[in-house]
Amino acid sequence: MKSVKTNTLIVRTIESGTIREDYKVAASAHLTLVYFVVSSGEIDLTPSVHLVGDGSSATVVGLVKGTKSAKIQIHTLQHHQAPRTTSNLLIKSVLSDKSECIYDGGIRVDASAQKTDAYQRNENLLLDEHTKAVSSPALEILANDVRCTHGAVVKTLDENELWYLSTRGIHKDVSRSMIAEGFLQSAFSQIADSDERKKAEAQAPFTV
Amino acid sequence: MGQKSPISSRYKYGFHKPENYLFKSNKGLDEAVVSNISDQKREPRWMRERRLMAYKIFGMKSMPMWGADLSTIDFNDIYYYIRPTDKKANKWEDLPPEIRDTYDRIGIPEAEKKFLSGVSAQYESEVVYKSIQSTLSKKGVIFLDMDSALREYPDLVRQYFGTVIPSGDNKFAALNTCVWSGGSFVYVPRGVHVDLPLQAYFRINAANMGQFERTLIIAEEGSYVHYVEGCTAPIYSTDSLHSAVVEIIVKKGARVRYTTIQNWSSNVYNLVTKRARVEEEGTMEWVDGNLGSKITMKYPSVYLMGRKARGEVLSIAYAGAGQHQDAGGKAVHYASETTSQIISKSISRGGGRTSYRGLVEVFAGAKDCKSKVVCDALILDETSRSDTYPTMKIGEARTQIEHEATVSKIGDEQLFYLQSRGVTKEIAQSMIVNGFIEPIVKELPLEYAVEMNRLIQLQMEGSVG
Repeated sequence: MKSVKTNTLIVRTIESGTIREDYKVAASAHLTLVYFVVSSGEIDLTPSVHLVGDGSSATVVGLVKGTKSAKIQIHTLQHHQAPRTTSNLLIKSVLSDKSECIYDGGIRVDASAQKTDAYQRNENLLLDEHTKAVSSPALEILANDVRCTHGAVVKTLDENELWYLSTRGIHKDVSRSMIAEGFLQSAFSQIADSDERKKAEAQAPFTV
Repeated sequence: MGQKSPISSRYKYGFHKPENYLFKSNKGLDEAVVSNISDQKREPRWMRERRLMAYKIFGMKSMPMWGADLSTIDFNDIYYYIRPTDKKANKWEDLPPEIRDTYDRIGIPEAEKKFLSGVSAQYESEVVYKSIQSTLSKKGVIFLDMDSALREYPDLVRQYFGTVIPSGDNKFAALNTCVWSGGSFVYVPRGVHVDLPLQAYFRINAANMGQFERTLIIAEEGSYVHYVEGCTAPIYSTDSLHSAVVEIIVKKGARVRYTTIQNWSSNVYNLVTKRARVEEEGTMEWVDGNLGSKITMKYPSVYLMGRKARGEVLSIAYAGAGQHQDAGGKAVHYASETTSQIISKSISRGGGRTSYRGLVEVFAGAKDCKSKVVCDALILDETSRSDTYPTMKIGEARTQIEHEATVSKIGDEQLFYLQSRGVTKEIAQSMIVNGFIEPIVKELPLEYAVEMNRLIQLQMEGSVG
């Protein structure tokens, strides 16, 4: 368990293996966690964020690119233990070939964590026929003065967007990757601090 | 009153002598109890074998490892088959005062009150029921209790019974299959539209309110039927475990709507399996309201088997003190161009817990499916709890699946606004809650919608403190 006492940005690139990370965020501190997951193999990633200090907050962003027969498992926890805490999570995956992404994540709001604001979202873009996505975002809310929202989307390329790009003379393969990049790129907008956002973007292992 | 048994109505059909019916199985469950139930009902051999097989499966299946806490259910401390009158209160006065009070305040007519509370042996709308029955039978519609259907239409029942929910589906489906009694059988012939909703409690047979109801609805090609089960009034029951199975077959181009308002008394475990199989271009709609019981676990499902089949689940759950409503819906897309929608609204108050649990699954090869799930939860005080457990399993790229959920309290601004217009906080809260569930309530038949609103208002009384 790592303690976060001041505003902190952590950017990680993960290509394989089993990774568990636990962060404890102290009062008034903000943690920004960015994961670049690029894999054609097996990944099991479990980041947990515990908001233990009054007024602490966290932003978790995951950009996932699965290729070949990648099997990417991501389990997240946003655990609100103190009042006035905020968390914001967005995991976006682009899956091609036969890759799959299995996401399960939880927001847990303890009875003591009044005035929590929590958000959790998982979006999956399936590019090829044999890709697969499983998404189980869960909420467990034991306090009442809260706002908790989650969402999940599984979709494929929009025929209209592809058609529009083709009318501009862009080849289908190119427009496919343009749309996929745009899809991932938008995840950065979750990072509110512009310096942090630029730093994170600069470390991206793929063009986004 | 109350001494006259509901058998009198069944007796007319000549299948049971009253003394045969005065039967209560031994506590607990074994093969002898299961055989005995079948004997008592003089069932065909295949049904008896089905029950015995289900009993074996029941023994092998484990309790669900997820969901509500069921550890206090003692399967050996339950009567699995009791003659209906034995479990009803005999006098209106014998009912718990809070239930009598609720009836008075929701404004349910006297005759219905007595029927619903189980004190009345005969429902006064028997005449109404009979005239509906004759209109239906002219169209070839069969609407019977399940026991009668097995006697009168054994081949139809045999053809469809257990085809949507086999005994091996889960422990409680197995339990229901081995000890089922009561429930409804509806058969709608090809192209027939049943204009009036078929209401379970129009049937005189009190066994309808049984512990282990078994309902089977078959809608042939292009037909339409709306079936309504339950009622907003609390149903007092001395049984601790209710485990129904509802199977629906929606054939090509047919549409079935199934509305349930569940308001069992707060000692009841309500563990129900409801599933519809929908063929090409068919539509299934579940409207499911859960207000009562101690624990409810119920996830009405649509299995979309044919191209362009559509399924909808609208669910409302209300959990007060000591209640856990674990409800939701499932949509399983087996065919291309199928669509589904699940809308869930839940309210928890006074230490109650509501959980949405749902599944959307799309199999590889089922192309261009669409599904949308929206869950909204209100938590009214700090001792209550709300959970959301959705799962989306998507094995097909050409698909569009969305899920969103929100959990919040009643907005202070909304309350403040209403109070500034001279509305008390208490009334303001119940107005907001009624507005919150309105999208689903408006789908209910009018009389239910009115009762539902009154009931919510009633539940909300004293909630400000």
